[in-house]
Amino acid sequence: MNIVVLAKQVPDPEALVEISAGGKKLEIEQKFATNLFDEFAIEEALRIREKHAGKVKVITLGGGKATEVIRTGIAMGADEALLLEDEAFLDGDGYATALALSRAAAKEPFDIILCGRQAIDHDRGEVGQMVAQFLGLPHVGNVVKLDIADGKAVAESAIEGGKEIVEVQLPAVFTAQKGLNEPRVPQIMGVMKAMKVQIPKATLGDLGLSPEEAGLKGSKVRIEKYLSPKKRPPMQLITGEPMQAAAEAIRILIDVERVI
Amino acid sequence: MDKVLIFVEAKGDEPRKASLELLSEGRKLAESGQYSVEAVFAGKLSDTLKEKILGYTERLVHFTDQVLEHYTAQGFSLALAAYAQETDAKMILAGATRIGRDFMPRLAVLLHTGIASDVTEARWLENPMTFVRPIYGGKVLAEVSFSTFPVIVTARPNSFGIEEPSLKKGEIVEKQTGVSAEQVTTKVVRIDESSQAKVDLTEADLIVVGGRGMKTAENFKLLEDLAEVIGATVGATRPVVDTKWRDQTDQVGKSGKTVSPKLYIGAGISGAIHHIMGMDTSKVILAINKDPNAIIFDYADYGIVGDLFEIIPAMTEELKKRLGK
Amino acid sequence: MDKIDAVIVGGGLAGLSAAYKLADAGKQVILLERGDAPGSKNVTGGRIYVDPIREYLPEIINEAPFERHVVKEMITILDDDSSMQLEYGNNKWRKEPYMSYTILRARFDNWFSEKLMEKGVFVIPKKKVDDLLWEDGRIAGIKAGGEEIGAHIVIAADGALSFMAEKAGIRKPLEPQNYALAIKEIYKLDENTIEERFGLEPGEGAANLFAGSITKGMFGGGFLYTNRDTLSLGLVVGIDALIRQETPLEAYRLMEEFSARPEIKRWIRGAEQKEYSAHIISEGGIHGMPKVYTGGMLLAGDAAGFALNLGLTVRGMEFAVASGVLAAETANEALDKGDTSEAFLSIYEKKLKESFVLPDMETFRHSKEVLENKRLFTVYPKFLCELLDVLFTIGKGPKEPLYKSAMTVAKRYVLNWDGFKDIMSMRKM
Ligand SMILES: Cc1cc2nc3c(=O)[nH]c(=O)nc-3n(C[C@H](O)[C@H](O)[C@H](O)COP(=O)(O)OP(=O)(O)OC[C@H]3O[C@@H](n4cnc5c(N)ncnc54)[C@H](O)[C@@H]3O)c2cc1C
Ligand SMILES: Cc1cc2nc3c(=O)[nH]c(=O)nc-3n(C[C@H](O)[C@H](O)[C@H](O)COP(=O)(O)OP(=O)(O)OC[C@H]3O[C@@H](n4cnc5c(N)ncnc54)[C@H](O)[C@@H]3O)c2cc1C
Ligand SMILES: Nc1ncnc2c1ncn2[C@@H]1O[C@H](COP(=O)(O)O)[C@@H](O)[C@H]1O
Repeated sequence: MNIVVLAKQVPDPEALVEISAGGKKLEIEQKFATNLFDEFAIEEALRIREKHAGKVKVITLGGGKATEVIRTGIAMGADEALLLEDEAFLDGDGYATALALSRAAAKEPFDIILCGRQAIDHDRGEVGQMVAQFLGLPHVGNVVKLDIADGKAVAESAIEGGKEIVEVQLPAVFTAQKGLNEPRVPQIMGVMKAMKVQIPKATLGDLGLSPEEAGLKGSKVRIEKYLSPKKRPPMQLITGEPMQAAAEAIRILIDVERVI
Repeated sequence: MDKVLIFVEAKGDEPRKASLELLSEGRKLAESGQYSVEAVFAGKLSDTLKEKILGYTERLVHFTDQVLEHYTAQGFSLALAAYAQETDAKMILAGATRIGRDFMPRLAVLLHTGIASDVTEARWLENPMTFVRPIYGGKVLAEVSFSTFPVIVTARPNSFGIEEPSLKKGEIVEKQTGVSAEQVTTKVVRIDESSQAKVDLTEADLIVVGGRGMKTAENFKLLEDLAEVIGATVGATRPVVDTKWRDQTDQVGKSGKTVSPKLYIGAGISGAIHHIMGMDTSKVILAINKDPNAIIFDYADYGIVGDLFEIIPAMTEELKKRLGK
Repeated sequence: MDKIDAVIVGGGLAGLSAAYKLADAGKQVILLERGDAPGSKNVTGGRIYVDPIREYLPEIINEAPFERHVVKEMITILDDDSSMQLEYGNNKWRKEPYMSYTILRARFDNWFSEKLMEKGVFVIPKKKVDDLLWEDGRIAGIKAGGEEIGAHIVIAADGALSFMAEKAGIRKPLEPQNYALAIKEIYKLDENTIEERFGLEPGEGAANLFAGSITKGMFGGGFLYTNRDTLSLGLVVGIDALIRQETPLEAYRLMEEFSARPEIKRWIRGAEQKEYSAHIISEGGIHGMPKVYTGGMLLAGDAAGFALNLGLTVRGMEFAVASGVLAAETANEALDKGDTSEAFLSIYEKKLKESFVLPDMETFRHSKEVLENKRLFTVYPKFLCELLDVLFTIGKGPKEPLYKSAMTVAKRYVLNWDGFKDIMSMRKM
């Protein structure tokens, strides 16, 4: 079973994000983490390998700290890695990112692609489905359980108010949702191995892409500017004994805010 | 005139709120004279549902291919792509529901275009057309534009208003898109409905969320009671879900659902950033916490410092009085 | 079991310094930090004196991303409703090499750990060391998350509450009188505003220390440091005093009252609070110190009790750096000799004695007793403030001669037997 995991390094959920240059740029505190959902994807890949043998390859697209996500993957137990590192790959929309990742994944035969439900930086939730479409494969989204047997997968997908159980022929793409598993904490020995490893890299040319097809240039959707969310006015404290406060709250919700 | 397709989703005989919001926006687009707007529906269409949709659109196109009877990402994206190409659609919209977010990205690839997912604002009539989408869990908003057509957008539920249906009913057109069963390689084996919630959290107007301060699974009855009176949906924080007091589907926050209700009531919640990220776009936020320093108060419109076990039942009583129940 | 040369527990200044020095000497080092990254859990007031440590880590000190060099010292004495502020500057502080800098540990430690990785140190965050491994009555490695890592030597640099020292049996469990609680907030404010507000040139910084009624008579004080584009505001209170209060007041309340004082508000006006953290400071001085070595293990930094609370200032970072480096030197020699016995490692103490670390700890050995005097935090601030009040107030009716009023105030507060005792005890410092 050859499993490809697409994983991304994202700013830590707690990192400060500030708008600068009059809305043209973001300043993000230099604190990073593997995208939460991608950790589930890596963990699931490792579990599938442990059961069905094969190998796990982590692919990431990004510059700078992106190698960290690969090192995390290897520290957790992944066998191989590929880093798409080329200036021209950067700042792409979902389309450009998925195009590059699908080319990278397809460099070698695979049975399963696992990725996260959503990258928590740009909150797009597009890339997994797009990769599947670029490769002409089926996908199952929001996966909370995955069983592999006889070249087929049975996946449970979280849907509103329940679960959908989907059967799909491999190869296929799965996007991991919280609940799929509990990612392991890398062992010290694993981390040491990961820190020493040489990470193979691919450039635009290696993927047969032209500069017009990748990154910002290849994007169909572009960010014009960044805006600050509307600030709420300061909180109004509702005081008094519990009964009083409750009554006052209800009065406000019904008569002032008119939301009930 | 440029063609706009609005994908309509329904639950039983009810169009989803996100769909009605977009249909309402679609009317404005049609009124501008620049666009001709069509609603698109796939799958079983009851008469009641048909009537409801037709109150919002001049033209409803119903895809009747057998394979589209049940939702699959492949089937729906192929069908919509075929129809979009046929009609040379310039814009395709869907609610950012589970389904919309699942198949619309595939549609974008099929049409060699981009997608703006989960937008909360749209400046349809500006040139260039721009959309606003929250990023970094809502810490920042990004204004985006397209460099290709068609423009594909999924819109976060509760982002736009719903207008009254018009009396003039539109026409309905049945359509075979030609998607075949072989093109769909996933098979839905079964659907387990776990939660009885009437309205999904992401679409609910009113939400009552409980945190670890609820102390036990049983105590959530207090929130259920309150929710019952006003027809709200109950949600939970991550520790509550992790300890299995509530189902995973109830989780609000970064690793759960992003909600945007008219009213969010939070009880016994400290207000960790991961939770805030999932509820910050709520219109009115009322927080109840016994700790005056709880961070959630920094994000709330109204706050009550006190014991939720006293305040929640008191609110339920008061509501019953006020609403005559 | 295959053993690594050294495992360092804790990625604070002490651990980072030790790791750097050992890697520099060509040793294989793992540094384990339980936080998300080195520095992520560190709380520090924010000023470091670089002269004492420059020679220990010249490359680091000369290149480090400090915040601002301090050119202005301020002291604010607060009574309940009044206050007095003293400002002292000296032009020599404006010239390089600078004497002290403000520092943000998250940024600094992060940078430092990158340097370590360049040197080949395995810096592993999110790893809490749970226990020690023993071999022939000697420490022989660590246990973390079910994994056992053998090491020829362990350097415990795990901070004030050093669990490692306790596990090694060289320190008694926590004694409240040896610790203080610190609360710190970070406020964001743009660079120019900071410079304008504090009267600084670009790159220059100010330190403002606060004493008096803000700690309600408890041992402690407040601080405010200017960073590049943030302010560090904090309060330190003895845990012992906190526990023994008559009407217990939670520490965060003290902090709230402190930051609401107009004397503070003027500095943080318009700034947005970005962080809030609480931390323990060890301040038992030399009395609170454990034995700093045992077979197979050395203690460095706060873990060894190398911190001084001098009332208005806390000194710990320089000790952390110096002791980290000295521990590394000791470890390096021990590894080369193949002897990590307690007897051999005792040269660590000798090195500490020859450095500024132990002599400073010795010099200030009585500071704790002196500073515990409640009067320092109640009577004296009142005295000073009332004295100024007399000076500046003109009320109805004739004003008494200044000398006379001043004496009345002085007699009430300081010219008495207690005051005499205080002066005598001050000489111990
Ligand atoms: C990567 C990551 C992702 C995460 N994703 C999410 C997410 O999606 N959603 C989420 O919610 N969390 C998420 N978390 C967890 C989050 O950081 C917080 O731990 C969590 O939100 C805290 O939940 P809480 O407010 O219910 O509990 P607590 O923080 O324990 O707060 C309980 C509150 O209840 C109050 N209280 C107690 N008793 C009473 C009473 N009788 N009356 C009134 N008030 C009372 C207390 O004062 C306290 O403020 C995530 C964390 C991480 C690291
Ligand atoms: C509010 C405050 C203000 C201060 N102001 C100043 C000042 O202005 N000037 C000054 O010189 N000093 C100041 N100090 C003191 C100074 O911060 C400390 O003396 C210094 O940081 C000590 O460094 P350290 O490396 O020994 O310990 P720490 O910086 O505390 O580092 C210990 C590290 O070990 C990690 N750790 C602990 N246990 C484990 C474990 N089991 N496994 C893995 N990792 C572990 C911790 O997460 C931490 O990162 C102040 C302290 C405080 C709290
Ligand atoms: N730059 C990237 N490198 C690797 N994987 C990515 C990248 N961007 C997105 N992904 C994968 O696609 C998923 C969805 O991302 P997104 O559509 O950006 O929300 C993520 O959880 C990752 O698994």
